[in-house]
Amino acid sequence: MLLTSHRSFASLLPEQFQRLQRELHSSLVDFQNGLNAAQGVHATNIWSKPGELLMRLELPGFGPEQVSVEIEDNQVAIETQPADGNADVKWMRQEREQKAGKRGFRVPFKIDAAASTASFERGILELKLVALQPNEPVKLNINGQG
Amino acid sequence: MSEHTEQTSRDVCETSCTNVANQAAEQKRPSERTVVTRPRIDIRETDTAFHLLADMPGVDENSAEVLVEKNVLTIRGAAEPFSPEGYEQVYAESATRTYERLIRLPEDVDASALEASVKNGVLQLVLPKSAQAQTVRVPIKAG
Repeated sequence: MLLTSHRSFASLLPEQFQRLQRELHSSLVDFQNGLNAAQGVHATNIWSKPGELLMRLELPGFGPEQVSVEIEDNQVAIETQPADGNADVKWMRQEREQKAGKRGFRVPFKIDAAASTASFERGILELKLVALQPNEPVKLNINGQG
Repeated sequence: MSEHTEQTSRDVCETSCTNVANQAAEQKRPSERTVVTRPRIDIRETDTAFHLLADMPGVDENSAEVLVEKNVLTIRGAAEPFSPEGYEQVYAESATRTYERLIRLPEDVDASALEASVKNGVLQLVLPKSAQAQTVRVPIKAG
């Protein structure tokens, strides 16, 4: 008669060894994760050139429809709205920030909203803010006969 | 003795060269450096699977990697370096991102049926439970 077993090799070891192996694995995972830097929330980087600013905000998990950008004079405000969550979810771990938020920046020039652009790709919002150009001087004709 | 001196001078040279390289790296702006970041994760459980979400902004399906070895899941990703031509960086909160995190899997996960996708900079994994671990709902007949 052929005897078969569904038990894995690990399960043949005494319980103490299995527990020790799990604890060792757990310590190694924690150690390896501890070597890496913690992740910031909504980290922002800004680049500049005369008359322009380029801003990149990390907004992972948000879609373009959940992000709004408002421009007023020399200020820009970025607002995020989370998607409706399911309250009945059984969470085992919850570290990600998916709540409503607002962040504002004041830039050193008045922003030309019509010339500025926004795009969203791979969880990164990219804003190109263009400075409003001052009006060219206009020469007025003088009426009269002298 | 001379061998010892040579060894010592080589050590000093290597140490100072390393220090110079480190200082040069530190002087770079944060977004020009590459640091390994531990991504934030959410894990939720359903009757049939575990669902894992990991924040990896800048990563797509081509630059993400998922490995399972024994009962340890490793997720990795690398965002494309960004340095726009003609611009100078004036403010930085994050470096060029390379992500890595190890996660211990429960024993009741069927690692061979794991599914992975990336959307909006979030790595999404579905880790099905093994058949033995799935909740069995027993229909109750009227008496």
